[in-house]
Amino acid sequence: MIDVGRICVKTAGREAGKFCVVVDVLKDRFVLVTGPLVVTHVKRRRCNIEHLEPTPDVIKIAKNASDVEIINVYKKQGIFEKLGTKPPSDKDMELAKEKERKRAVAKKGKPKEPEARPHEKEKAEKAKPEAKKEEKKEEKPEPKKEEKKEEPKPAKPPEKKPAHKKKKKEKPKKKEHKEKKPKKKPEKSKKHAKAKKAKGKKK
Amino acid sequence: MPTPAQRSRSFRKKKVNTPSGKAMIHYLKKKPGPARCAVCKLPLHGVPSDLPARIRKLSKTKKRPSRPYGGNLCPACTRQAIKSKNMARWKND
Repeated sequence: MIDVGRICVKTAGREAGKFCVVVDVLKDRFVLVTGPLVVTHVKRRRCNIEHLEPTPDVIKIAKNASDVEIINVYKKQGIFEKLGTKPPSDKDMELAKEKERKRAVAKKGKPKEPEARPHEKEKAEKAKPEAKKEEKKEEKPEPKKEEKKEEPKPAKPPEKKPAHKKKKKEKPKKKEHKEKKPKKKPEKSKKHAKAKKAKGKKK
Repeated sequence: MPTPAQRSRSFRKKKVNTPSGKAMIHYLKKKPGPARCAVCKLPLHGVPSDLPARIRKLSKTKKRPSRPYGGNLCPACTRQAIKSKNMARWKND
């Protein structure tokens, strides 16, 4: 009963009560269906046969016919009057055509991807380290140039450079602290030594 | 003692410990029962059963399933209704 070209009513989901056409018969009681969207607001989608109620009307369409083709058949057979809908406006037809184009692009892209993936990965792996090396090479010479520029022109530093200068100033301070600490330690050791000497004297 | 209006056993009572340490009883209104199918009287899914003031705050999509007869008939009865409508339509032709 449900074959390609059969007009049905959907009985489940938010599209329940709306008309659609069977476009393709898939495996396991599933079927591909369209309104088309522009005509009856039913998307092109997979549908369970149990969620369809067939009507006596059948139209002659090829398997996997596009929405525009189906609309043209509707016009010839006068099915818009039977369904109680109006033929779509020019704007809606343009929308339907655009969607078909996108669908065609998506279908062409899908089979190519799995074949190209291993090659793409190799290319990507090769490309990544090269790019990283280039970046590193670019980064290394830059700081040297900046240092050279800073020394001759301290009077007019750009906005970013003061941050570098501050960091440089902080580093030597830390070194001074480290140098001071070891100086104190020998003093303590001298005190301990004096104390030990005193203890020794007492003994 | 509760106020005379609250002295009915139909209220749901809930014990609450207030921040000051008192134990109070809050009197809560009963919720209405679940929405039911107009044909087979089964409770409907996807329709909230709460005080009408709270349901009014919900968005439209949270109040009923977005299907023809949603929130009115159960899915099995909608299917029958659509089928019978479809049959009548094509018999007339």
